[in-house]
Amino acid sequence: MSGALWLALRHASHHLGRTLLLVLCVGVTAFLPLATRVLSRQFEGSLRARAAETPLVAGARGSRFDLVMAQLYFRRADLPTISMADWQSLQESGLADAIPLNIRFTSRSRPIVCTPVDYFSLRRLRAGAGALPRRIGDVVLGAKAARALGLGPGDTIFSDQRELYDIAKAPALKMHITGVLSPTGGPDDECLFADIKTAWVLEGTSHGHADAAKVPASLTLDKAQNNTVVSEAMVDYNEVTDQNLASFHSHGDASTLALSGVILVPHSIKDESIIKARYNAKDKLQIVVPREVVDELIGQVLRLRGLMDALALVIGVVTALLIALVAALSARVRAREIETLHRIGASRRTIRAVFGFEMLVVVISGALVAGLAGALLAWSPLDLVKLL
Amino acid sequence: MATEPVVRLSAVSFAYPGGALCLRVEGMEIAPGELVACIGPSGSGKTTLVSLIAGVLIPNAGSVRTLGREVSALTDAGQRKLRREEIGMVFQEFELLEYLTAMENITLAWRLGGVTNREALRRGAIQAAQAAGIGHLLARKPRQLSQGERQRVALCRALATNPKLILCDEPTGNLDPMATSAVLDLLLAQARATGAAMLMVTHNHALLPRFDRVIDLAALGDGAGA
Repeated sequence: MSGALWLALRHASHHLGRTLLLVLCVGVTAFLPLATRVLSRQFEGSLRARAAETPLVAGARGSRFDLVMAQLYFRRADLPTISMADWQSLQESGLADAIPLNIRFTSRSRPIVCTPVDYFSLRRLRAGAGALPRRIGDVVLGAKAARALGLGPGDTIFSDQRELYDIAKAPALKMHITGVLSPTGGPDDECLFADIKTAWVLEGTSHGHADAAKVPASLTLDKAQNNTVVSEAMVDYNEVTDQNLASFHSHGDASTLALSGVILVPHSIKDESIIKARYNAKDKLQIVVPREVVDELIGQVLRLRGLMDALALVIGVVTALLIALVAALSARVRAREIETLHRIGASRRTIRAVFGFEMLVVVISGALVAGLAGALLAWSPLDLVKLL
Repeated sequence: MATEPVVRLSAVSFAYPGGALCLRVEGMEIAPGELVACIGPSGSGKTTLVSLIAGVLIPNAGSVRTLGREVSALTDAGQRKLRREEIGMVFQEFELLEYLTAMENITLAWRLGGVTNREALRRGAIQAAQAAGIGHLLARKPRQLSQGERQRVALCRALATNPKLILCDEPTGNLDPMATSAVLDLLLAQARATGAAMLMVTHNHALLPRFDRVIDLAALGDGAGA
C-alpha cells in the first residue's frame, strides 16, 4: 500500500492546481458548518456571560431585544428615553438597587456610557491606569478603546458633535481622560465611561457659562431684577475646568433629565418578582430579564444554525458528487495509465488504492484547511454581537 | 535432459467478450535465450499474443506456459508476480507516467510490488539507465525527453529486473530509423548479456534479419510457430 500512497501523492503534487481546487471545495464545505458552530458558540458565550451578571433591565416600552442589546452591549438603537423620575421611582421602591445609564452619545463613534460609580462595582471594573471619573467632563476609557485611540490618562477627547448647523445645541465637549480600565474581554472594553451628569452636559440640559453679571453689554439683550437674557452668540463652556466647574448647572426640573435605561439589582427573588409585576403592569416602563431575552435570541440563532447545517449538508452532498465525478472522469482519462500499471504487475486493488489515496489526500487536506480556518476564526476578534 | 521452452502455447484460442475470434495458435515455443520477431497484419492478434504470454489475458481454450508455469492456473497475484519479477514488457507508446521522473518510472513496478529498499532501487535504476545511455536524464519527466529517450526509459523499466523473458509490442513503431536502431541494439544486447529470451512484435521487416527466428502470426493458426 505504501507504493500506492506514494504514487497518489506524486500524482496529486504533479496536478497541483486541480488538487488545490478539490481541497478548496472540500475545505469550504467542511468549513461552513464549522464556522457556523464556532461563531454561534462565541455569540452564545458572549451574550450569556453578560446577561447572567445583569439581573434586570428597565427602560421605555418597545422592543425588549433592542433594550437589552442597548443597555448590556451598547448597541445603537433608537429607543425612547425614560427620565430621572423613573429612576427615582425604581430606587425608592426599595426592591432593587437602580443604576441609571445614558448611552446616547458617542466619541469618535464609540459609545460614551454615562453612569454612576455603582456600575463599575456591578461589572467589577477597575482602573488599570489612572483613576475612575471624578467629576463631570471626566472620562475613563475601556482597554480596547484606549489602545485603538492611542490615548491614556492626562489626554483629552471630544464628544462627537451631534448638530453641525444649529449653534443653539450643545457644542462638542472636550473631556478629560482620567484613566484606562483593565481589560474585561466584554463590551466595556470598547467604550468610554463618564458620570451620569456628563450626559446632561452633552445633552445641553446642563451647561456652564460666564457669570451673568460679567457678560459684556454687547451680548446682553435684556436685564431684569433676577434674570438676564443673553444673546445666542454667547457660547457655553465646552470644557469643564477647575475654574468653571462651579458654573455648570441645569435649568428646569432635574427629574425630567433623560436616561437610556436602568440596570436593576433586586435584593431578593421575591423583590425581583414584585418589581417586575409592579412596573410591567404600568404603561410607561418595561422591566425585562436579560437572561430570558438572550435565551430567546439564542433560540433564534440555533434555529438559524439548524438551517445552515441543512444547507451545509446539501453543499456537502453536491461536493461529494463533484469529487466522485472528478474521480470517474480521472479514471477514464487515465485508462491507459491504469492498464500500464496492471501490465507491469500492479494489482487491481493497488490501482484502486492509488485513486482512493488521491481522494483521501484531498479529503484530509480539505479537512485540515477547514480546521485551520475554524481555529483562526475562533481566535479572531470577530464579535457577532456587534453585528446585531 | 531437454531444456523447457520459456514460452509454450498449444491449441490456444482467444476472443474478447462479445467479439469474434481474435487469435488462434495451434502451437508455438520460444527457447531460452532465443530472440524471436513476430509479424502479422493489423488485427491478427499480435498484441493479444503478448498479453496472453504475460498473463494479462487468459485464453478461452488451450494452454499457455510461460517460464514453466501454466498461466491460467496462476492466481492473480501469481500472474502479477510473474510479470513484475520475471518478464519485462515494452510498449509502442512507451506508457510512461507523465507525473513521474525517469528514475521513478524505471522503479515503478518494484515500488508497487512492495519493494521498499530505496537504495537497491536507485542502484538498479542507475545501472539500467547508464547501460541505456540515459543516466544523466533520470531526474527529468517524460515531457522533457525526446521520443527515443522516452523509449529508452521504458526499456530500462522493463530490463531493470533482469527478466528471463522480454516481451516487446512494437517498441520502435514511433521512432525514427536512428532511434529504432539504437533501441533495438540496446534490447538485443541486454537480452544476449543476460540470456533472456525475447519476443518482439514488429511491422518493420528491415529489423527481422537481426533476430534468431521470425514468426508469422497468420501462419500460427496452422501450427507453424514451433
